[in-house]
Amino acid sequence: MPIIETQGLSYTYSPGTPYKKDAIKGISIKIEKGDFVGIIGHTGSGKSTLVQHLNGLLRPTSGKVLLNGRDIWENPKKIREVRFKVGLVFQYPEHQLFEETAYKDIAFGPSNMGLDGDEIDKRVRTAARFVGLKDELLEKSPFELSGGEKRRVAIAGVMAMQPEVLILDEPTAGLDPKGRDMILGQIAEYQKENGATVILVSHSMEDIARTTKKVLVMNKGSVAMFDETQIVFSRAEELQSIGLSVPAVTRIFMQLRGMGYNVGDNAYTVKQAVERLLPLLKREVGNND
Amino acid sequence: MAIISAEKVKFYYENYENSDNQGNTPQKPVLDSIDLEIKKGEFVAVLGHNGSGKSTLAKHFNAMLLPSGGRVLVGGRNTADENEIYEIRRMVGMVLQNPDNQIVSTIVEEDVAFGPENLGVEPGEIRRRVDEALKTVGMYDYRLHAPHKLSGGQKQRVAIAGILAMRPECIVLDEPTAMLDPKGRKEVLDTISRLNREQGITIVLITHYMDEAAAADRVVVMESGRILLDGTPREVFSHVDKLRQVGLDVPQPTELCYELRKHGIPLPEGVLTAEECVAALSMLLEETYADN
Repeated sequence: MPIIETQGLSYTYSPGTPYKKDAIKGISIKIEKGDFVGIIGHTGSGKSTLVQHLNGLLRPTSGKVLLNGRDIWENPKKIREVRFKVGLVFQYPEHQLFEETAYKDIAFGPSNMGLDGDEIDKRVRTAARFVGLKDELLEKSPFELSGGEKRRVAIAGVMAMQPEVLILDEPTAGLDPKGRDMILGQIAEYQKENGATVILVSHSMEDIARTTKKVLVMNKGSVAMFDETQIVFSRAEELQSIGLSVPAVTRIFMQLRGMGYNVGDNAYTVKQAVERLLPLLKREVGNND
Repeated sequence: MAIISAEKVKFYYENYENSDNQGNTPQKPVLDSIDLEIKKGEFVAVLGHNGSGKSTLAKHFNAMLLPSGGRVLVGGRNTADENEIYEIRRMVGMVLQNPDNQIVSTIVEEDVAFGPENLGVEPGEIRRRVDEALKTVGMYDYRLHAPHKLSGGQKQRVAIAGILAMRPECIVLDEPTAMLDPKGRKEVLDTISRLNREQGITIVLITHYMDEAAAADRVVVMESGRILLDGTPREVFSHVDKLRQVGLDVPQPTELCYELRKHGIPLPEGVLTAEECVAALSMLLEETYADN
């Protein structure tokens, strides 16, 4: 049984007004337990609208969201529990820090779950370790932290609820390469260690290519593709046709193939490209020796 | 001729907790004796990870910050001279990272008019400049729109138009695309490249996107408040190891050639774009196929 399933999910903003907009239309997807899924698409393609349905922040105009096989809106009074099970980290989550210390901010979610003090403390410290925050930072005010540290506090706050599904909306936006690599590494580790289901929304094809196992491509409110990362990136021409920019190495492979070289499938990371090209090029270098 | 020159610029943030009784601050300087000349008409990208001092340096270029030691000259005027500040800020405009933090008005054209109004430009001339600036950045059709309803890339272009209306000689952009999606990034980058090429406006682009830096004439890499590398993109990106050490990426095509070279494949150094990479690879593959 998939951990999350949507059936014909549609959402319309401002229905019955001149500003009516169908943000997502008839989305039916299944996400299995332990999956690491990337969601890509243009601004306005419906990515954020979709993920806000998965933890019940938005209620579908039509269609259903099932969590462990049960409609999350079956009993609207219990929607809060869904939010403990499906944790959502918003874009620029550091803008939402509000407590006096980083510790208290991370503890906010678990406290709301009604856990006892010891358990809360344990979870706060575990989550802080996951995102690489040192103990001494926990007693500081969020205002004293750097942008990257604040971001990690905010992510830890959701991880501390130990949700079955962790959704992150553009967790690396605005970070430098070092901060980006650190956060992506920590998310991948969290996913592996807890067997958690993770959904990563990103504009960065490179980030998606490096971390996720499956990719959901959104276009104009519908699902354009949903498949294993490798298969999605092998359809680079289609991705480009819906205006998504593919990684530079993928473009290099497309062009080489276009020139008639048999370089194999599209590569989407530098590592893959090296592996594919090396045997072809080695032959040539060897011949010259 | 240098439009901006930084001479042995040092900068410390005042930190009262750490300072001793004499008011001395023992901590490391944010900028540690920077010497940098930016020539008129240049397109310079400044790279560095967060905390490397790149934004602090940029803020010295239009007197938003004043050096703790050394001096900054803008068109020969010292930024520490209060009487020169108006002229310096007219000459050097600044675009910030978050487009929402720099909008002052509820209508696009009023926002663009804010700068020239403050300079005391007469109304007819303001009208002309606003229209021209909005046309230049491709936002003229949106002149009566509300800025908060625009996309991030459109907002940044309005911010650039606001500076253009002051007739600047130089625009400093501090990570203008960090919060934008790929489409918005392209819009902003195309706009600034065009301003540089067609109007000869000097551009200083602070960024941590390597592909943006690759489009500049010159790349300056900052690390720990000092200048680590300074040269053409080709020169700078040939130092793959050094860039990685300080937590920066290199463009993917550069990285691919670098990795292949490590395996003994004779590829040239300093490959920047996918096209160059394809050309270099196809030459080698050509020979392979010819052999068969």
